[in-house]
Amino acid sequence: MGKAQTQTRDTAETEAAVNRQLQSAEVAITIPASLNFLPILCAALREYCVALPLLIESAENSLDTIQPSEARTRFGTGPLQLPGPHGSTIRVSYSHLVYSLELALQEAATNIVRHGYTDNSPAHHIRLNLSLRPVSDANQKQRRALIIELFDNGLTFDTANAPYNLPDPDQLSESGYGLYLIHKLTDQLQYFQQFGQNCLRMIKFL
Amino acid sequence: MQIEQQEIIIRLMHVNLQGRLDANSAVALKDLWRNYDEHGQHNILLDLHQVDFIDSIGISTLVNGLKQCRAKGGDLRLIGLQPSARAVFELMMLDRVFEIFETREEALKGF
Repeated sequence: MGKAQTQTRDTAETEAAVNRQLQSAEVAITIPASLNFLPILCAALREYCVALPLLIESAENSLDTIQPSEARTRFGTGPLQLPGPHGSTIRVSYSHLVYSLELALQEAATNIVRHGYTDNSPAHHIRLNLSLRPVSDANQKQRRALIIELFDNGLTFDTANAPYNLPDPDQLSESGYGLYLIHKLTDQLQYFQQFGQNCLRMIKFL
Repeated sequence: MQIEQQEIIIRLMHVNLQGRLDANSAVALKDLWRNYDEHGQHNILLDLHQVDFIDSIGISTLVNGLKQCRAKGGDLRLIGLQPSARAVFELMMLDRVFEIFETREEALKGF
């Protein structure tokens, strides 16, 4: 019993140590609130996602002296593995994950530019924050997640709680897809005010 | 986004897009549709194999072109949709609305 308890605690400690390392790898970028600049936000997200597998492996390897085997078994699975000899399938699913997140980001940022800032002033900005943190999932289980946060000073729109639905495809609608995609492509959404700014937090469990 | 166009058969335009089809670049495509409508071009093969990203406004512009073509008895067919973009079409259930083909040869049948 004593041994089992020690192992549980070690695993939790290892996970906490890895998470601490990963939390230090944050990215923040601010752009003018214009459609021209959204590809820069998207590129930042893609680069961050490309670096993720390496980042996670490196954080785990740095703990080798503590619990090498535990770290590997605990964190070495899932779609974020480095592409290996059997990598093609993994790479496809990972690139699809990255594409999905880029699309969610693009939709959310487009909404801010088009509906949040209505006066076309060049003074408006959007800030993107990317980070890795443990988040409680629907079953109250702590899971590692990619956090995509968008900050703006525009009109408030509660993206997380606003009603959304998919337009009837047969109606050939030319709008109304953005909110649906944001909800479908992420695992959790939060919308709140912080330091006088709107923040949309999009969470994707890894 | 770059647009290349060629009339491969009389009254059938082959349009090749490159880059990102998004809120920023969709305007150029909408202008192209307007131009085609004015010149009686209602059959379009849209080649997307060099398009690496499409957002909902980009897709809305494709829906706009599709409606315009079909209203005049033509069609807008898609070729070379990348797997991730195709998954998004499926998520939006628009794969049931568009005719989507792998190759130009397949898409040409029945035009």
